[in-house]
Amino acid sequence: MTALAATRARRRLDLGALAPLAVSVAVAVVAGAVCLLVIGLTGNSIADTASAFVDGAFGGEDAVGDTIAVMIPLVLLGLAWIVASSGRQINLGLEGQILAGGIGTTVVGTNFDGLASPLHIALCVLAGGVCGALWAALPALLWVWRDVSVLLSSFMLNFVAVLLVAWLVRGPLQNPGPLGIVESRPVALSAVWPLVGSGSLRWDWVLIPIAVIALVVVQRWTTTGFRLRVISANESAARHAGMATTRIGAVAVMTSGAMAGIAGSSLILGSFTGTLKEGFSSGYGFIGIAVALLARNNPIGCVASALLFAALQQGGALVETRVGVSSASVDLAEGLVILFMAGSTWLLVKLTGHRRAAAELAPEGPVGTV
Amino acid sequence: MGPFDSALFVSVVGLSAPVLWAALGELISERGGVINIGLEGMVLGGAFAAYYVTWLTGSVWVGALASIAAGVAFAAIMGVLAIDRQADQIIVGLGILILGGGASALAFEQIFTGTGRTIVDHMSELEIPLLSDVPVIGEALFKQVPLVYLAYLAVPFVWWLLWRTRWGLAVRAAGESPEALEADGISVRAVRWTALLCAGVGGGLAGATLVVGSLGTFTENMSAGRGFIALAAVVFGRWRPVGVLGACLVFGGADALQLRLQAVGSIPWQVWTLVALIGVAAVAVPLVRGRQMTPAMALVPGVVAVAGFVLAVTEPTIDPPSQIWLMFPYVLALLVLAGFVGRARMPSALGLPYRRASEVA
Repeated sequence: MTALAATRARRRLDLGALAPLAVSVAVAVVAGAVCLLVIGLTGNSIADTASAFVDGAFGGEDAVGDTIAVMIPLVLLGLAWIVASSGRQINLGLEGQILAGGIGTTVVGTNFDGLASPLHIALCVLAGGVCGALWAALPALLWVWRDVSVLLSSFMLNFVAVLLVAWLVRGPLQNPGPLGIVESRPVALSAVWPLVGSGSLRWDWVLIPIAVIALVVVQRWTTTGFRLRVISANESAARHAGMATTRIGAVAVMTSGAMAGIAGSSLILGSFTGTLKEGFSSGYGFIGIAVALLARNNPIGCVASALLFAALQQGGALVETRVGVSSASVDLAEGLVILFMAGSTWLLVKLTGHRRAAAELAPEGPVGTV
Repeated sequence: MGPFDSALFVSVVGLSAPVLWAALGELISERGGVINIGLEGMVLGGAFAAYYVTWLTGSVWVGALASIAAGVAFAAIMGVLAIDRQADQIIVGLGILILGGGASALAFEQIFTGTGRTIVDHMSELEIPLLSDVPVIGEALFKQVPLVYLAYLAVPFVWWLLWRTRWGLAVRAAGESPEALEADGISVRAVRWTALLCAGVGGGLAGATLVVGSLGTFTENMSAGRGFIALAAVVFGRWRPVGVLGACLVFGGADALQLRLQAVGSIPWQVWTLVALIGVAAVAVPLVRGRQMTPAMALVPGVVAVAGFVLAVTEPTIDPPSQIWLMFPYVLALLVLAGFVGRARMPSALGLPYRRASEVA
């Protein structure tokens, strides 16, 4: 073993490397405990809540399938947040980009009936990605041309997207059937992701490994990844080194939007009805942010933290029907996770001198804060 | 007058007030170098607190005080993490945003589901005699609820605080050059804390204005992005109280106008004339002030002006669905940010955590 390899091995075994993981687990446990405490304080049985939660998330093949179904968009959204923030951009518009992707997917999915199924699915996913990227292109271009903060503009566009969907499902895209239901026609059967087995799990789970591996490869082994690392470490140094930081940031936002759009396509193609309807993404964009933060912006970590939040979502739904605790408690858990993670960075630096965490505390805010 | 009658002005002044409260609080906080994107969460927390406490006590004023307490509580969470622990202000703000929305919705459903009581008292209008009889603007300016008057009176007060007191000077220094402030022997931490708590007060009162100032009800996410509109108003108002007031009136005006036009069948010629005049003003004002203006820069407002006049004369029947109308305030906020923003004017230490030299490793 060479000296270099020995150093590497030692560094891997160093407790400091495990510290971020330990902190994330601790944050998840504490946030969960606080939520249970709140539920207990409001006069509900904690035991009932916990058992309903576990049943809802993991009780039986269908429940597990549903949990994984929720996990798919959440992983993609967590990765979307990571992509944007590695370009030093705050993409608060994931929710709107999901909706835009869902619209694109529905349009392609409800047309082109005769296509072979794999081709139709691929086209739908592509349409979702393109529409998500285009929706994200608005804030990206406003930032490049007019210095408008992506944070503000992308968030405003969420409201516009929600209203756009509300209009489309009552207008051009409404199911022309006699019932007058406020949703689109269902997508063609050829566009629906096939089931994996007898449960409710669908083949769109393959999007998880594809997206995670793609991002890890780009981050570690490409020039783009190197540029993004330099930009996120020191934006002005990157600019002086001749990197087009503005353009790279804009592309990062659009890529982020594309991933959110694909998450939106999964919400349509993997859904029970296969239709576009109002509120088909109720807050997934924000859960995705919590997913990424809990994973401390690590793409592989996103899988674990998405599983946790998917379980929270599914378990929380059963808790609502069985115990009567509002599923707004899930939002509470998200908010707590984000705040605890923000607070824990300081702790991590104090305890271990963790370098990447210290960089997060470095006095250089995101580009174009307001 | 078409849609531009006294009822419209009443609603412009009323609808601008909650945004104004939130924006004035945020203005102080941002001047102190702390950006608080959790404002929306504070507004929702304040709205629920005002609703619940008014329901408990029957007093709208106690409800308004409770909304301040809720806003300050959220600001304190933010202060501990973002000022004391130097965590990323944006991330902490995001946590506050989601926590405020989640906590208020959860509390509302837990306490009020099945009770059937959903309307609480709200403030009645305080009519100022004689002045409220002035035509067109009388009712808008002199027949509003107290929280609305207070919001507008807070504008000169905030100006006085920031530009005529020692504390205000310290706040502005904390946002521009915290090192200089610390060198002068004043604690940046303490100054930023007080500035951030002001954002909590403003956010809370914005929520109170929504609940006890007008509707007397609470609904999930009732603020509908007003916290973010307020953030945009601070940018558009160029971090100055009078500018912020103007920005809030523009956004409130957009909201009032779209509500009115939803009810009218088609867009009347007066609205097109207004569009044309805005286009003309966008060209004329810089010219009068002697600014350099290339033909390319005048192109967009010029086209807007011509199109506005053409549409005012032809007055085509355009009746968009309500959802399109509801987009108007958000789209306007985007356009305004795109048209008028200047990043150079923002406080230079905005969003940056401050660490004393002794703390830097």
